Amino acid sequence: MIFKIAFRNLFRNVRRSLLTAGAVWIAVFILIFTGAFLKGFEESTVAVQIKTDTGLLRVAARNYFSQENEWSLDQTLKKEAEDFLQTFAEQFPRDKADPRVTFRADISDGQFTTRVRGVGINPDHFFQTFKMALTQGSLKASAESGNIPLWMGAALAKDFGAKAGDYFTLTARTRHGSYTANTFILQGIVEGGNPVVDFLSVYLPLAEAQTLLDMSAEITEIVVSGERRKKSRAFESWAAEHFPQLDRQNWVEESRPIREINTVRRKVIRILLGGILLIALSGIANTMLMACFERKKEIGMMKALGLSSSGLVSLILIEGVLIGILGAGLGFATAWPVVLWLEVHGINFGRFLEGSTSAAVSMASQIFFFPTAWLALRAFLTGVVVASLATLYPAWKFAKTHPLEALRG
Amino acid sequence: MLLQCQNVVKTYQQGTQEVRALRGVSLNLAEGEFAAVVGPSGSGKSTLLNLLGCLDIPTSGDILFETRAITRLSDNQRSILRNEKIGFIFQNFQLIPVLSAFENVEFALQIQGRFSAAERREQTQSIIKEVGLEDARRRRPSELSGGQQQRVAIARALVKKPRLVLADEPTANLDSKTAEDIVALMLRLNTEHQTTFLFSTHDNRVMRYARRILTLKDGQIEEDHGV
Repeated sequence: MIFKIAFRNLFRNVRRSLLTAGAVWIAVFILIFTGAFLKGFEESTVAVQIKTDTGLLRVAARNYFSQENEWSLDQTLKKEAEDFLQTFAEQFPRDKADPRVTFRADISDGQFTTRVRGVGINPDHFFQTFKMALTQGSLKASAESGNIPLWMGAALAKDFGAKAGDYFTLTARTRHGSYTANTFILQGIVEGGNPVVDFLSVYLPLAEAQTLLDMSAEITEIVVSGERRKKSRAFESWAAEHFPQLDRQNWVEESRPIREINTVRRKVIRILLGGILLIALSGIANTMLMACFERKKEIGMMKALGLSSSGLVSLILIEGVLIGILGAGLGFATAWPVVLWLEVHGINFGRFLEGSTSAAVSMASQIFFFPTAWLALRAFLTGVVVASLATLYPAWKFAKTHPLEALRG
Repeated sequence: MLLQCQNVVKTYQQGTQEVRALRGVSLNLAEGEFAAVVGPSGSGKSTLLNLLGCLDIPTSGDILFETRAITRLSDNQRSILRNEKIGFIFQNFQLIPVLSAFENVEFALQIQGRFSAAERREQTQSIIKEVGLEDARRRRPSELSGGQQQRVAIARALVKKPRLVLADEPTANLDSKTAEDIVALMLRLNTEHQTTFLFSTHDNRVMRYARRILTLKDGQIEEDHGV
């Protein structure tokens, strides 16, 4: 009967009940939306990083990764690389390993010069493994006679106003430190949704890179790719067993900076969400207090009939819980289709990132939301708990009111 | 003796002023009585009923309910006493608007927590029939007339078979014909159930149904006579 009264009380002032539930509704909507966005942000950025650049595991010479930011060409692989690629192909025939030379260079179209990341690759193999969209030109390495092909990230090409067939000069330092340069023809423009690729990278055939950098047949790293992320463990243990002299870096370590940045973002957003929940809590508490004041005589009558304080607390609390369930249900029902849609279609942040490469490096341009059942359940329960907590004060206040005082209204 | 009131004084603080609502009231109420408390506004009728109903405690003096001194009971004990032994009928009916007539009556039994759902329904059905509300039992208070609402309140007070029913101006919001019907109903139930009734009124037509009339004036019993 207590439940029945609490339930029907919701319909005594439908507008007020809806407004009260509305506070929970908004809070739960924001919780689900931001939760799915943040998780999706991390997942999309990591996924695009794996898919377009780092693969599941990178293998390089000892100490290469610790000095990677210095773009040193001192730690290279030659014989070990050949052995690695051969035995990997035998051990994991369905997975792929790409040799690569990564170096710092300046690229110029004759008018403007900018610093880029040069990557020497085997184009036919590399562009099959790393799925990048070709926006212009061709992914085939067969350039016109005498011209060395080059592929460029879409955002970088846009900055240059470049089109396939344009000529560019790449200037770099050889592994011995002397300056070197060559002219390339823009064979294709690629887009990976990864700012490192789109804003900063140019790709050229591995042999041309090795010639440019005076590296003979050496490479700086091998990038290993597979269908599922879990497989990186198998790759890593195999590499550790068979090539213990090489350093390894898996996708989890590669994505650590992204996750650390995201942790900070999550904390900031949690503080904001905490504020929103507090506002919702005080709003609900205020409305419930008003509702109880209006029913003061009724409460007095119930106490006169002998309803215990705990019974009265239950009555008011159940009403709060029901409002919480209503609001949280509405929040879920409205937020869930939105985040499911954004899980498929995502939000393209690419246009917001134009001209700000440094800020863009830590995120994918297309963010796909990542809703989970746990996120929905947590948001729903938070809504219900907030509404219940907000009801505690009015419940406690009216439970201790003297029946006679309450009967007087 | 069901109730014994010994030299009860009740004072209120109203701002800086002390108001003496009752000034040494003594009375005894026996099992099965049908008594009215009458007197002008401010004479202390409601205060007396509140004290006898364990809703309040006297400033001095003693009230014994079945030999138990209510002044020595805790809030919780008084709440249990009200729950088990006392029925209330209020001037404004004080029904729960979101419950039907039947549910309002059943709620009183639910608070007691002593009966199964089937027993509650059976007892509620029985008292609803006694007060003549069978046809209106599914209606909510807003769909009932004043007289019907007061019948529901009477049924609610009686369904838990209390020893004492206190009614504060039960007919004040009713027209004279309905008021007489309500008091006649109370009298019938008093006779049939042997439940003690004490009600306050200032309506002469209602007063004549009472078998005992206590006249209060300025917080004191001026007259106490059987009819």
